[in-house]
Amino acid sequence: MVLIDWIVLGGTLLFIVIYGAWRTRESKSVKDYIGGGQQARWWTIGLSVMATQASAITFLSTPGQAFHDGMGFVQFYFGLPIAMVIICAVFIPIYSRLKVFTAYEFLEKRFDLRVRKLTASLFLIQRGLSAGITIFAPSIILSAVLGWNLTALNILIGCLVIIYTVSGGTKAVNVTQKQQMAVIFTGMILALFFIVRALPESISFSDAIDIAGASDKMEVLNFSFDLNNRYTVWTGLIGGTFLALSYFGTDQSQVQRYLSGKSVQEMRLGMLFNGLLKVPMQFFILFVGVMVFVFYQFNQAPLHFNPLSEQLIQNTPYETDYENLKNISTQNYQNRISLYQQFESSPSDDLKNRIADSQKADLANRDAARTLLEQAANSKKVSFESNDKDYVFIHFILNNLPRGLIGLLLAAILSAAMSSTASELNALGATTALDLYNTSYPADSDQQLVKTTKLFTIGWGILAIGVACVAYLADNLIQLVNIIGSIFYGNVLGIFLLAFFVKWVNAKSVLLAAIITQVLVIVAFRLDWMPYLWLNLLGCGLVMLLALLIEAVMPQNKS
Amino acid sequence: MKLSRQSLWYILVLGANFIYIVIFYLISKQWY
Repeated sequence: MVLIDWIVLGGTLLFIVIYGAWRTRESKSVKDYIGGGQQARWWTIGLSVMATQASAITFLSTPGQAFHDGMGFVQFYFGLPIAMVIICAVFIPIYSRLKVFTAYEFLEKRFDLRVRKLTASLFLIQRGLSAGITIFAPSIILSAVLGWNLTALNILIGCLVIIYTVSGGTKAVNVTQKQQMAVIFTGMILALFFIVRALPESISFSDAIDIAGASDKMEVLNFSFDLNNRYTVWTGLIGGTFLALSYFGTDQSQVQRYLSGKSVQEMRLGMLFNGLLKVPMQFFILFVGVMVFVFYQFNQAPLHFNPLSEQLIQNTPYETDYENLKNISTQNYQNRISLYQQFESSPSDDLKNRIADSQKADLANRDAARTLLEQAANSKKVSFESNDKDYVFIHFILNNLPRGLIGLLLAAILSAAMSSTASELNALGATTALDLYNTSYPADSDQQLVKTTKLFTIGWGILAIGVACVAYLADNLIQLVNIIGSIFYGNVLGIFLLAFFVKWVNAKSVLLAAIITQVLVIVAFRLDWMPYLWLNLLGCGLVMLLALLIEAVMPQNKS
Repeated sequence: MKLSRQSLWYILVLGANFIYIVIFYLISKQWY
């Protein structure tokens, strides 16, 4: 990082924060502050929904995932357009007709206040924790790579977000997310341009794709029915629809984005815009990762991309073996370069096979290095993530991009972290104020409610920074947050599906079914009945089934 | 049967999703 990078990074982030806070300083009423003035056009909604979903980890991890495993991850998004159509056809018209500010407010109108408060609380537990992780996840990577102080970085990201989110509310989140998406897309397109430019002159773009294809990186689709395979066309279409429906349809951090739309038409267009662009966008990010893989066919890559691996392996019994693997890796790389040169002058199937063998040997070497690092971490009794996919792209950025562009790419990554966190804090503040506080202690005026919402947003912001600062103490906290999400998400989606699609189910049955379901899902998790991702399906199916059964056997519930 | 403008949008988005899958199938076939 040189001065010009610091200027680009600091200038971009400060401009977004100051502009966002200044442009939306007049947000005084609940309609303005929580509903974003309900003036947003479809492109603002579409970009805002996209920016909320794409966190910093999307841009750090996804290229690394493609580097190791190819393009298959894109299948995970095949269900998203289907979910978008369902949300446009069913959810949006109802939310809009009832003029609700939060998704849970609809549940009070459909069932009763208790169901509203229960689902709002389930959302707050899950989203409150994950807001901290949205800050922590990029901070831990950037602090490891750049040597920045982890706590200072957590506080900086958190405070920048709090400034404009508290000051301008939903409108500020929408305004800043447009600029953040512009920074992110510019950064990623320039990164791809420079990766392709950094390839040897004799390698054309089409050659680069051929090399990626020969290394199995271009296998996009997998039609296998193997349940252990996480990314197949079927899991993408079925599981992806289910997950996207619960995330975009019932999670207030997303619902609040489209409820700020000017009309039902604008909200629908915004969501469909997202449904149309999300799959190509993920394909593009993965493709950047595949091109980074091709780049490292002609440039030596480190044995492990996390710079802390060198420190970890030192003074352990595994140090010598690790050094040997590094030497083998260097020899392998030199051998591969020579094979490529021979292939260029006289292509043959034999050379092609030898290049493929060299790539397989490199892969095996990396796996062996990972095992050594895990053993070293065990011997030192420290936690260490041996999968280095989060570090691949940032390593490439810092070592190969020109001055100034490094600053822009870092601004893009931090913008992604800020845009997701802003939506989360905005939704947490609004839900706490409207669904929990105001229903028990109604505000005297609109201004007082806005003030209460601001105070809750600050509170959640401070809590998120706190979670981010202590997150490194817990082993695999990201997984913990995913587990907590899986425990609650299915139940919440089931309640919403009952509300939208089953007209004859009433509040008491739903409330009872939701409480029993939550207890059973927690028991299922504690007794390890199934992999935790399936808890989503269990929660959703169980709450619907139980509510229908209770309604059928206890007709006195019918009102 | 006359389709509403809204339905045409839905068909466009779902159709585009199907076309993406077909393109990805062709890519996988070409380079795998």
